[in-house]
Amino acid sequence: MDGMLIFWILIVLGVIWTVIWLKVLWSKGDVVPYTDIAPKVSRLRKQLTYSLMVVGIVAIALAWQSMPYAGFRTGVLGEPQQTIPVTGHQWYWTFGEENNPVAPEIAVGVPVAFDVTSADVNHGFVIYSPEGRIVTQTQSMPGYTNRLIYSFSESGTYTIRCLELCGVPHDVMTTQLVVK
Amino acid sequence: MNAETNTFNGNNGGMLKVSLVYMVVGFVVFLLMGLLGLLMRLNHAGIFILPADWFYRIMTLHGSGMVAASLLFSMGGFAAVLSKSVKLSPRILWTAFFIYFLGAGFVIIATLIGGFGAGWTVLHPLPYQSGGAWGLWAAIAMYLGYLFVAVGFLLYCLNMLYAVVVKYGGLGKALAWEYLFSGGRKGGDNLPSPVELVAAVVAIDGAITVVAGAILLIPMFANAAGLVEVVDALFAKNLLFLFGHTLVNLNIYLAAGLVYAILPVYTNRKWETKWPVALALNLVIILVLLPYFHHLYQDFSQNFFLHVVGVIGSYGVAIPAFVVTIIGSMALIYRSEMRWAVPSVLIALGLWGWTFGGMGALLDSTIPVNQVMHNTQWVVGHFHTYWLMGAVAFSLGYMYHLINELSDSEESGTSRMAAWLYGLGSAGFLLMFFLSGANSVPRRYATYLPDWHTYPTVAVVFVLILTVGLLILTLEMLGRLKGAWQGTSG
Repeated sequence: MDGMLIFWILIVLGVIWTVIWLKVLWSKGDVVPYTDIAPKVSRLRKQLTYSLMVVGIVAIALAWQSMPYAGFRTGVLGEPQQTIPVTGHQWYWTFGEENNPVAPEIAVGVPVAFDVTSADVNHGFVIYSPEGRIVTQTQSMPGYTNRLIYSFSESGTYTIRCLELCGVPHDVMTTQLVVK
Repeated sequence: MNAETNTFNGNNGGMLKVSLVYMVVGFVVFLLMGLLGLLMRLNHAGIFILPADWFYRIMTLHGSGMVAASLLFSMGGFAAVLSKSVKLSPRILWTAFFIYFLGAGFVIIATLIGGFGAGWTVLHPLPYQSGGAWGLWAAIAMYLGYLFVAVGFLLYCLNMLYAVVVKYGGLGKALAWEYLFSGGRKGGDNLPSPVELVAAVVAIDGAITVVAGAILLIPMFANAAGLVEVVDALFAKNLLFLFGHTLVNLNIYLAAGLVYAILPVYTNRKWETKWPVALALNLVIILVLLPYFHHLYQDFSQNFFLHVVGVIGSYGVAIPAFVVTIIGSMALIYRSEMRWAVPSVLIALGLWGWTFGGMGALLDSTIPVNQVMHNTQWVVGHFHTYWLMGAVAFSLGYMYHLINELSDSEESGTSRMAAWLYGLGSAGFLLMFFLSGANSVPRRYATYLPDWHTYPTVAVVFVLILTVGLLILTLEMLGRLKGAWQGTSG
């Protein structure tokens, strides 16, 4: 999902809404009794309620295949070929088991499972593309392991940022991930 | 001022005094917190660099202070409106005010003196594990602050609920249940007004919210005292967002109640309780408690069913708000004799902003979208839109209306222009949040990469426009405040 695509969807919806809003505001000179409007509003409310419910159901159906959770991602990408334990600490990341940290080697197009946890407070495990866009994320939580499955489509150096406030040096809690 | 007005009924002068104090204090704190927000944007733009520890302290104070200020602002306006038709207790509202402000004092001490900078979300266990940035006492002070603010809000809610229930002779009648469940065939002769319905709904959900906050605080205090070794992070997060997310949503419903009250004055049309209104507000009692789950979409360990509840709740709560309140407001304006005045301009802007912010929120409450937007500036964009161009615009419009009404003053063309400037400045400022979020700029970052500086720099220009509008309106209201205070005595 591309952030700018979502932005443009918002802008298009916003423009449509603004046109409707302005039309309503500018109608005020052409006065009619409210009794003329009330039945139309009642019909509009019903139509809108049903329409919005349909839109909501369609949105859920469309979103279903793009769910980020392990079962869904496995269904789309296949079983992960590589598992990388990840632990968030105040204020650095480690890959591999606690007593055996590793520098992960990741190949393009291979489904990877990141098993993400935290040694202390909540962190956000967020992977940025070489172009600086978020490609995927999960939370790094004390007492829990969140499995994030992802397949990198491009090689390059990805940046891991913490996006959950975890203390004063939170914004420097970054590391890099090389995908070849 | 002797005659009965839109708000003054000859007997509610004492209540109007309390309401004015709530509104004025809420508005002043809003302005102060806005200045802190400006400091943060200047820091992001690289114009005025704050040390990281101070950035997070200011951010925490700005976030929690803005929630408290905006809520107080709406509470004051809503109490004024409600006091015309039901008997509220000024004594209880004064007590609630002082408890609320005691809480605000604790938050100020925790952040500015204690160095607390865990954000308004106080995600456990960060408050107790700051890495040396603040001490345990500062975290406790922050929690005490929340406790007192919540108790103040609870008192306010109970007062409203009691008053409405007494007037209609039962909770079911205060919520128009006979009318609702008979499909509008029975019980239509003594219906609560939309404002009274909002009062009952907000009071019920407010009480539930405060209970959620209290359930969270018990293990927090027990943990601090060493009675409990570990508090589950996911449990704490769920309760925190049930408390915090719902509280800020209730703020919007209170502010929307002000629209029900004053839009009819400017459009010369009535807003009555019809069946869709009764249905929508009764649905809100449940629906407003569900969307908070969308804060936990990226907590993959949360049960998947609860993620789905978050989606359905987020989409679901938007329908009654849009179909009943926003469409109802637009219907009142459409081909009416609407008078352009500062309050009607601010309400019109608020209706636009509430909807636009809602669109941003609905997109983000779709799980795959949230995958790339969670904890980016997009989130900041949507809730700032709700507040600045929704709840605060409605409250400001109402306060301006009330002060003018009580002081028997007229507004000028300049003040109407100031209201539009408020809208223009807000829209530009908010759009920069959405744009930066779409470009993956994180929220809650003290230091920005050079590539990210453009968005806050443009935002600061719009903040200046917004400030000019606010300044004009503030000075005008300030000059009339004494007259308004005297006007509460009849």
